[in-house]
Amino acid sequence: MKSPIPKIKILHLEDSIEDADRVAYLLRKAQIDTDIKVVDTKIMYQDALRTFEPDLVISDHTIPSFSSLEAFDLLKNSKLNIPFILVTGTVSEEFAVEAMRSGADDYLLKDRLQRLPVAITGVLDKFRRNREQQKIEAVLLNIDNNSPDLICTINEKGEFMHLSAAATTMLGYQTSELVGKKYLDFVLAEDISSSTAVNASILRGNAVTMFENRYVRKDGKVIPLLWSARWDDDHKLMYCTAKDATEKKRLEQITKNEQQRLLELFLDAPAAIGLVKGPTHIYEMANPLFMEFTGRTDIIGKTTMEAFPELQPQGLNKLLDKVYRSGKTIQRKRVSLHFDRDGNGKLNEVFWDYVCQPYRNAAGEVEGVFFFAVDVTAQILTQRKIENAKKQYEDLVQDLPVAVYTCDTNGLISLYNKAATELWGRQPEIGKDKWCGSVKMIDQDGNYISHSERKMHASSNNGDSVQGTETFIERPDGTRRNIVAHSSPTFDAAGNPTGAANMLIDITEQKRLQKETLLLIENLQNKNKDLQKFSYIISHNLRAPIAKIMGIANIMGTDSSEDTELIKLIALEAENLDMIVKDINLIVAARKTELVKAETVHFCGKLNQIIQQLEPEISHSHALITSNFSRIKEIKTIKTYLYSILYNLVSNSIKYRRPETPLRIHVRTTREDSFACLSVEDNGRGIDLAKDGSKLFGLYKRFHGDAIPGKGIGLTLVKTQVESLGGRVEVESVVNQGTAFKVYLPINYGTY
Amino acid sequence: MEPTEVCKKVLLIDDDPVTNMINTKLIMREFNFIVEAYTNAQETLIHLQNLIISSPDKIPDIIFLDINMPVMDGWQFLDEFEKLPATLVEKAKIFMLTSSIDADDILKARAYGSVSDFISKPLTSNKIRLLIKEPHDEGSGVYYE
Repeated sequence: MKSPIPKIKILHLEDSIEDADRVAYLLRKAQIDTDIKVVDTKIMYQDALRTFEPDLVISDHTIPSFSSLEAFDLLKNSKLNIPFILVTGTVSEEFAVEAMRSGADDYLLKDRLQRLPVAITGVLDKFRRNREQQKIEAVLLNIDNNSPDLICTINEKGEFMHLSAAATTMLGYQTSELVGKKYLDFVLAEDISSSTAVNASILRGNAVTMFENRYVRKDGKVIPLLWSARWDDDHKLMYCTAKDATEKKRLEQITKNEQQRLLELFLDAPAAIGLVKGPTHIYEMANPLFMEFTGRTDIIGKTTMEAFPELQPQGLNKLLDKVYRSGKTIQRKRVSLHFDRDGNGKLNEVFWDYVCQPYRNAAGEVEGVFFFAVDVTAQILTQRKIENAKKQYEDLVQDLPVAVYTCDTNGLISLYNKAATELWGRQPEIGKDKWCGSVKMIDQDGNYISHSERKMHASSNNGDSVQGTETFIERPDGTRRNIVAHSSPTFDAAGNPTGAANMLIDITEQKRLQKETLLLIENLQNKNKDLQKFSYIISHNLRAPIAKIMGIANIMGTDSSEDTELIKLIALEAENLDMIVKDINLIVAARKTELVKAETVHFCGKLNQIIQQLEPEISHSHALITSNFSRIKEIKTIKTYLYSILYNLVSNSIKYRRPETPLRIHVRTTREDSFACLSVEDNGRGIDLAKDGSKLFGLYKRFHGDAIPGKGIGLTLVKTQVESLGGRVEVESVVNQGTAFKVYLPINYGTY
Repeated sequence: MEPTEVCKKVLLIDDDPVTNMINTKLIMREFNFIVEAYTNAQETLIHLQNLIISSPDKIPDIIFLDINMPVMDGWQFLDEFEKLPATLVEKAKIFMLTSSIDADDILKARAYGSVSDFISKPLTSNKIRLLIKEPHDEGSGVYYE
């Protein structure tokens, strides 16, 4: 039969076999399963302590040469921690007290051995309990020493009573430095009030967990601690544990940062972000950009139907429904949407790239729809503008009245306009035809030019520019056009030649007109030569006989007074005829100025010369001639013309004076841009410009009857000569008040 | 007749004999000058060359020279005349006497150093009086007479 209790190994120190048997008998009787080793000498006892590993020692008090006290000491000195029961025959009260004091766990009198089983169970129980207690204490000590958390007790007064070793690592103080000190002395000043409040609450019986405050370590550093504490009213102690919350704090900060970053992302994202929840798509959140895009401010809590009624016909709800029901992401690009941004019923078109994503809860069920949208309106409008501009550019090129085309480096045509096909007389095949290869080209001498000799070829090949090369092309129908070619090389971004942009100007018609013009000029030149011949004939051939007649009349002398009279008449008429011939010659000659050299002429000198020449007339008319040439003293012009002009104007002023009024003539110059204005003003009879203005400068026109000498050539000559010098004449006049002639002459004749 | 006038020797060169006749008469009537007339400029040139050798005292004081003439015109005559010895060129004053009133002709004549002035036909006694008064400055009644 197997006993439920393991065998108790008993080392029995006894010299009496009878007593030993009695003990064994009693124990068997008490049904205590034992393994008893009986020894009676010190050596055997010592050996048994080492080898038998007893659970219990029973020792007789009186063994020869060996006392129970000595046996007890031997046991204490061994490593065994087992009960020691003393059995004695006769024992005094004193001895018993001494035995118990020295550590025996029980003692029995031999005549009352029947108590032995109870005593054995008793001491064994007591030792087992002791051993367990010791184990617990060891564990507790271990915890105390090794716990990473601080374990401590604090009394009613708030003083540390006990602290685990973690106090040293956490607070930097030895536990001995803390015990008896008030914990508040170590709490960071800012956290004292909250700690005190919590302390009071704990004292009222409320256990606290996760209370956080900060302590100041011995080294001055601040450490956040996370406390759990409970008040033990029986022992009047507060049991506390504290964790180092530094790491928690760090994690908290990380989490906080992460959240902040997400928030910022949400707020500042270059995309409109929003979340709708539920089957009716209620706005849960939307970022500022979304609000800005849509022009809404108060959509949170509203259904999309309420928030964006204008989008319903545009299929917004259908889209959200689809994502909500299917749980699948929908992504669309360049979607045209019409928002009532200003809330006035007027829809503005925008273009969005968007993504609608199902929003799932922790259980993975679709709870709503997340959407992200990027406004690409500007890009699309820009692209449209570029496309429009490109189209306009293409239209422009197409409709240009000049042949325009581009070719690659091989001369293959890549683009051409209408005018080009008209010029070529054919439609080139893109990528196959070289324009120069498809059309015959002829040089100025009428020879065909080979492809490689063409300058356009060089342009598209070498990147050289060709400007204004004149040549001929022959169309398929054999007709030829005269053209001017311009070719500019084109380059890619890296600067490599990509071909050339070419322009062909059809100058056939222009050339024809040019020829006609040249012909016209030639005709005019011939006519002019004829006129000059005529002038020559006048000055030489026509004048010769007149001169002779005059000479003859001059030397003829006769007695008949009648004949003398007639000869005088012939001489007079011959003189008249001669004057006309000279006048005509003057006017014709004034038209050809190219042989006459311009020189610097002083107005003052010329006027004085004229005054000298007209001296008789001036004194006769009592004319007062004043002048002012301070503005322009001299000009570069043809001297004889200027003399003639001024002479004629001054002599006109004298001729056409008012008889009753003293004549005043004022001659002066002013500057008018690059012209000198020479004006001759008088207070004479004046001219009725309304009546005679148009005829004023006509040849042989006279306006004042025969009373005044003159042949009517002066102003004609003035006008002709002024115009030959590149100038003009103006006249202002009031009848019976005076006349002002203004002659505008280039200051520097010859540059005109 | 003006007997006070110094007797000058005048040479007329004009291809038209009528003109020569008129001018000779005019000069002979009004002045006590010796007048000689030639219708061929080339012959005149030879005559002048001969005078230098044979009788330098007969070298003319005044030569009236026409421009348009056959064989040798006035300009060609001037070209050759200016090559003659200085004794001749310095003594004989040449006046262009022509029906031309062409400005080109006038300018061209002025370009010759040997030409004293340019006179437009017809020759008159007034013009002769003016030209024998020295010196002959420009524009002395040629252009604006």
